[in-house]
Amino acid sequence: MDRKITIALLIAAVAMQIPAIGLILRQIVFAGLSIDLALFFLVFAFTVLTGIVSPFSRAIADEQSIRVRFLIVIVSAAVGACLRGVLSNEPVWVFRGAGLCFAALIALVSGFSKNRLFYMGLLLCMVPLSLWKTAPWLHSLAQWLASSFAGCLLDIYKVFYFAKGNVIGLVSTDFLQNESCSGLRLIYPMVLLVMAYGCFKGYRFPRFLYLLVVLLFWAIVAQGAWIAVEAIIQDGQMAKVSYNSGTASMVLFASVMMLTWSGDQFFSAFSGPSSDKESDTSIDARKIELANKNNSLESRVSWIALWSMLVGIASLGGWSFYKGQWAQGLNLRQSEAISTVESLKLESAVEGWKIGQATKSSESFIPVFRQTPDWNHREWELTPDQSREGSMKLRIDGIWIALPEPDWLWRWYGWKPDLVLSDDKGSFSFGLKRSIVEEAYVVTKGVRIVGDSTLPGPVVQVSLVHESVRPITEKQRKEQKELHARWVEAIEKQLGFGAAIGDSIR
Amino acid sequence: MLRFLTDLPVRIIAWISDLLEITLRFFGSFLDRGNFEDSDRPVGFYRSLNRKLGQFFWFLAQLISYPIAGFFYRGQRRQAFLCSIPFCLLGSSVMASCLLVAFNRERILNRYLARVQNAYSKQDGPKGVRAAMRWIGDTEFANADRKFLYSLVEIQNGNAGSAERILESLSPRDSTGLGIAHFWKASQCVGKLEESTLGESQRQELLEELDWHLERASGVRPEQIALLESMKAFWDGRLDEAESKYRKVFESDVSQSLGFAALLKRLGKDQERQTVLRTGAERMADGLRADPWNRAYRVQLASLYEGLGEWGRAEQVTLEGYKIHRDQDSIDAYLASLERRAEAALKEPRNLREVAYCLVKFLRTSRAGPRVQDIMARSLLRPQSELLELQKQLQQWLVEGLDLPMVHLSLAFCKGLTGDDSLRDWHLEQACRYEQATLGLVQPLIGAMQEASKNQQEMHERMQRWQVVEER
Repeated sequence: MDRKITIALLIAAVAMQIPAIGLILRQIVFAGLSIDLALFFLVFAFTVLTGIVSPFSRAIADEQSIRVRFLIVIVSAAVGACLRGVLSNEPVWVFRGAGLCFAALIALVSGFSKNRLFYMGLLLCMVPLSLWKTAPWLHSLAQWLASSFAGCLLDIYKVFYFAKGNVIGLVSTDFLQNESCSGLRLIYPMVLLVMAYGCFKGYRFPRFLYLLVVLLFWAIVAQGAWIAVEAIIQDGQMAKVSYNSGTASMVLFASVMMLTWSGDQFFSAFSGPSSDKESDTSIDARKIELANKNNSLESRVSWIALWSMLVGIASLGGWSFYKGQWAQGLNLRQSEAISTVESLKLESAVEGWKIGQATKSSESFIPVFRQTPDWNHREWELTPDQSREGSMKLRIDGIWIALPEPDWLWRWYGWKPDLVLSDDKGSFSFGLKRSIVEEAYVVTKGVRIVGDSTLPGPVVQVSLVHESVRPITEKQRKEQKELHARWVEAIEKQLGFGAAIGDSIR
Repeated sequence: MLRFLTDLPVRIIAWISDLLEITLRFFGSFLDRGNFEDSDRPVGFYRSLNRKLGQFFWFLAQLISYPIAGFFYRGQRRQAFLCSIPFCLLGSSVMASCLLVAFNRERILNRYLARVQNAYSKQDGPKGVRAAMRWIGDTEFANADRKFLYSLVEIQNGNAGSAERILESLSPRDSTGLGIAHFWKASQCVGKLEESTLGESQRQELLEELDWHLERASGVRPEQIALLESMKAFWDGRLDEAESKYRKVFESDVSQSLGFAALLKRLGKDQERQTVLRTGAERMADGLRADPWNRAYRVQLASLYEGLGEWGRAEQVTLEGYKIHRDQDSIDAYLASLERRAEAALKEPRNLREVAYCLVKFLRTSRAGPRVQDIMARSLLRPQSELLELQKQLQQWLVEGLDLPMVHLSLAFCKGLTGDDSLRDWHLEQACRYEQATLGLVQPLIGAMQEASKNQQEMHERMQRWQVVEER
């Protein structure tokens, strides 16, 4: 009876989140994250299949294998995710909460072990991978480690280099290794494959964690080695040496997977024959009996708590349904968004500033953690007429589905925050410092490309940057903010997609 | 007496054996792995701690013995051991590389420092800056001297602003800082004192700052500091002291002739100034004869002749420089000298012979560039009488055989502005006869003269008319 009520409540909890799930799936399709999506479906299908047919799970594949205590943990995580999604207006978190409920539902119906539920929940939480707001931060940290390791190799090989944050530059040439230092390549498919591997082998949490750590270690080392090899080839060459990055990525992918598997073998060999304990099959009948005994002792209070949480999730979804919060029916079209950004035209001069396309922008790259297959980076130089001082740069970066931290790009190139980040109607301004002389002041804002600005959707980051070796005065900052507001207004008018498309989205 | 030394190695081995035995006995309770098999049985705190320590000890023992013990494994475990070899080998190499670099950090950074010094000596600023970027952010390594080196390569790289910022950070108003940076700051103060817009309080503050930095200045020749002290004395109103200090510097260093001459001019001692310039020029000319490749001597000598008003000799010195070096720097030096000569000639009362000379020389060296257009407008858009006098001077130069095509071209413009169209065309024809390429200069110069003569209607119309004739 309890089991049936739980299943019914789980179905209701998932069903009530359908608008948010639909919106996220549309965003994934818009972003063109086909590799992530395909991998997710493949791995998920694989998980379900192994859950049903794998010899590991059948031994304990009865409903008692998932204890109420574990269900409460999973559902409370789902409640947290849904609440965060609703409060911060981020449907991706609602999607994750619904994913956890969905995993619990499948596990409960199919009688999977809690080990399988753990993997399914994790997989569903990982999607959509590239829409994670933390991706820039994670990549930034991993890239810094990879670049540092590349630096070690270059020091051993006696190739002279310097680092601007995460990006390596060679002393012998006048440009930065932007392409190879743009984030960890193919990291999400690697993580998904390792999860699938762990699931297939029936590993428990500690070994799964060990595998993930080993994977990250080798991903960072391989990326560092790649950067070092590229730098060694590039050293002394005045022109950029070209190579097939697709092949290089595949070699990197294969190396990392092989070394991770080798690391797994190390664990097996190191822990000896008793390593079989890690798999579900090793749980002997005595332990199952003990678990059943414990489970039967669990009080009705636990069930009521679980049902209350599920009702809460369902109500939260129902309320969103009623308010129409996620059911905006956004008809996102990537090609239109990209062509709108590309066709952007700016005035040639404004209030004593002349604007022209930037001829040399060394600090610009195409991040591997971008949220769309295409990436648009455009840069203009603002030069003052005679009555003013200094020069500025106007730049557009994107398209983002979920805008990262405003200063992500500058941190990537080693800038450290100097002044506190201030928010003025969605427009952020902050001071930065680098080395012992460089200072910068940045005003930046995410500009929506389509539809209602209160909803999550594709945005481009419009920034006005003032770099100087002299302290930037308060007057200059104020002027920069005013100028940025003018440009943002002009850009918003052009990026608003116009009436034709705007009318068709509702 | 020293016989016990023969037994010492044996004794040491015996001590080590005893130590090992004691250690193993101490951990003896942990070494019995059989105790851990019944891990499900509840145990007390000390027993639990004992078990954990034992497990950790075994873990370490297994880890250390793994590379050798692995070869004695059997079955699946042996297979797993063989498959883990790439992981172990590469993992150890990665760790070893990181440790190697970490332990040799100072040596590696010194390598970069040497690269910066090398780039500085070869005047390769961009490379020096890139090499310095490796250590400039390292607070431990980048001490004041190294920061100063960085500022020097930044100057070579053309980033004077960055260099100034570093020097400012090296000359703070506290007990720290670098002597040479304080010297730079003192020079800055002297430069600011020259500005005429300063108020009395600002001047006083600057003098105090100059005094403060001057006290801490070091790392340069004593004469250079004495020079600043002399300037400080001048701004303090101690004129005799200023002159005597500067004279001492001048006597030991001829390159200070110009500065000393400038000071004497301020003190109203024009006769002495002439003597100083003359003496300086003679001594500098001797130096240049001994070392004709020395650019600094050449620039100084040309400036001294300019100070004396001997423009011809100054030009001769700069032209010699061009013949020796044949590079852009020497061309720039010549053009700058010519520009100063033109400026001096255009000052009231005008020296029209010099103006005519500069005009011809500019036309030859800068063709129809903006500099020529400016000089031409300032020389020719003048009252009729002055224009006629200029024509006379140009004709005199024609007689003296100075650059015939350019003199004719200048005369053509003079005639065009005075309205004598037939002579204008004749001079232009002569210029083109000597050098066909002269014709290419005419149209841009006419355009510039039209633009410049907008406020002088008559001349403007004449230029307009000329354009019509050219277009036809």
